[in-house]
Amino acid sequence: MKDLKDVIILVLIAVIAGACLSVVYVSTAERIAEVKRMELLEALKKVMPFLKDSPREIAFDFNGETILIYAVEEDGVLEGAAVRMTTREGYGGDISFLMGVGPSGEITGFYLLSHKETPGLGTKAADRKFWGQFIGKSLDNFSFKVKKDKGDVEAITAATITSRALSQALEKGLKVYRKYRDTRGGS
Amino acid sequence: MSKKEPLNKAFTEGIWKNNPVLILLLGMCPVLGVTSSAVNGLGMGMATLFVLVMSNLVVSVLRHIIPKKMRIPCFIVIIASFVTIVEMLTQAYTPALYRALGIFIPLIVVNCIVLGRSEAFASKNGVVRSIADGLGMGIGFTLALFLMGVIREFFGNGSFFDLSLFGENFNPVLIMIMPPGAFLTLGYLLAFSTYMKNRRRTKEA
Amino acid sequence: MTIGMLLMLSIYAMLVNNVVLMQFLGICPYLGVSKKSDTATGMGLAVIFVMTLATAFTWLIDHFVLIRFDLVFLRTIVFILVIAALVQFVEIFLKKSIPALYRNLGIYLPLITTNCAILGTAILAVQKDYSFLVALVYAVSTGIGFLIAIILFASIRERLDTSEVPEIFRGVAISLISASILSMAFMGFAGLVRM
Repeated sequence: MKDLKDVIILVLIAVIAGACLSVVYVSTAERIAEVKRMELLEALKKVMPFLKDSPREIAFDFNGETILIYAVEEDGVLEGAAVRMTTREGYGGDISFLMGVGPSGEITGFYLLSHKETPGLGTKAADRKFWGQFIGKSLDNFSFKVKKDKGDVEAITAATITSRALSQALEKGLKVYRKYRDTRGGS
Repeated sequence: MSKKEPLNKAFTEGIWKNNPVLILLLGMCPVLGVTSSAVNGLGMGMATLFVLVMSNLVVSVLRHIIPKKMRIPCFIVIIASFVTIVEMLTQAYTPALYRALGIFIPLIVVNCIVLGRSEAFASKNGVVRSIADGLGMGIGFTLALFLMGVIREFFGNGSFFDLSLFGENFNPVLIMIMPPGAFLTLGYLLAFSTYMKNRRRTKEA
Repeated sequence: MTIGMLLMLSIYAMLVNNVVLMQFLGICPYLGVSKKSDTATGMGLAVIFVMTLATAFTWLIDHFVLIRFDLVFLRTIVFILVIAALVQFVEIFLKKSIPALYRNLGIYLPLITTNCAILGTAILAVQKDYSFLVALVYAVSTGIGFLIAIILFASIRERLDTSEVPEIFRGVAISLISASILSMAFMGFAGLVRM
């Protein structure tokens, strides 16, 4: 009998704890979603200086791969977009970032979302010093390869693999944008 | 007056003389895992402090109700609830910190300090004293994490709270913010605390 | 996932992103039960065993209960209770059915409930959206990573016992500094596989 009473007390504590947690969950859930939305919008503004309202989110199919595009349109005309890219070629693992693309296919911004690169070396990819060199560049006027591979990209010191991965991913991002622009047709 | 003194002691004990990290060697995972910068160390310390005080409080209030045989699962449920609350609050109000601390926030549940204080102190003492104990231990833990963070950020990034101290030409000791630097810093800190202890003992003798 | 990718994940979890030396999970048993190689081996094996079981159970509960009923916010509390109960059952089961194994691993089991590597791996496996099979491979490999790290470390500590160490560094301090050097060695695995 005593054991049963003990178990009942444990269950009671667990039920009360669960109830308290549900209350906190419900009262913070909205705010958590809001914070996430605000952060994304902040990042989008950083990569697309021309952004005014929140862009339209599209899951775009690029050769069988689903890539998120945030398209900015005005009166049905494409003003540019941000592409969310993930590369598996990083030194420490996946690198995810947002890139802004202007109407004629030039890069307008870069924002690192998540990575596992070496602190102090690969993490320099977040510095403007590195990504600044891509601003205004497009598929026509830039070779997205590091100088070691006879391209135009100034690699981060001691982080060639990171630089290579990002250059490749940026080039692919521009292709994604171009395909998206062409497939939506019309304008 | 006679009751005031032990209360005082319950509070100060954890800060230095029985510092959970530097003396008792408890809760080492977050000490090593999240102290690559002063902000992260401080944030993790505060999160643990909150859980410690709240779980100490609740365990102490319920100490006559909680059955002896079932006490550990009861403690775990109480601690895990407060950890989940911290998890949701940091996610809602300090999202950058939430991302930086990552897996170590839910892992406060298995931090030996929290369960240890519930078992060793809060289940045997009154509410006020348990809160004092939680505060003292929590502050001691926070201080240790903060110290680790400051040292590692100073050498590994040349900055203090993200404020660059040396300017462009400083070449930081990167290893200090990488995993080996965590072990190294804690090793030296422990040696230093032994040194202080020895010196105090020889002075007394 | 192909076999090749599973193998890569396995190497990644064992060496590149070693649970102790790179992620700092399970530091308490790592420092506490590493004075002798044979106890370290026992602890390591017990961790592999419980980690795999725990990840399997928590994965199933996460998918069929928590996600289905929109209770993901209870993950921490449910997982730790499942692990605590699991360790108890494993202990009772081993004692009754495989006493030989129990004699070897039994003493480590109570310590394992509060081993953050177990809870950490279980949470990471569901956070990373691994399928059941991949989660199992991940858990086994992480456990093997723990075993490798703790055996290496125990061997170093056995040597340390007989060497002359400055007085204030004796004990845990010098062990941590040795762990630091071991961790540096493991950094050499970085970039070995692309994940």
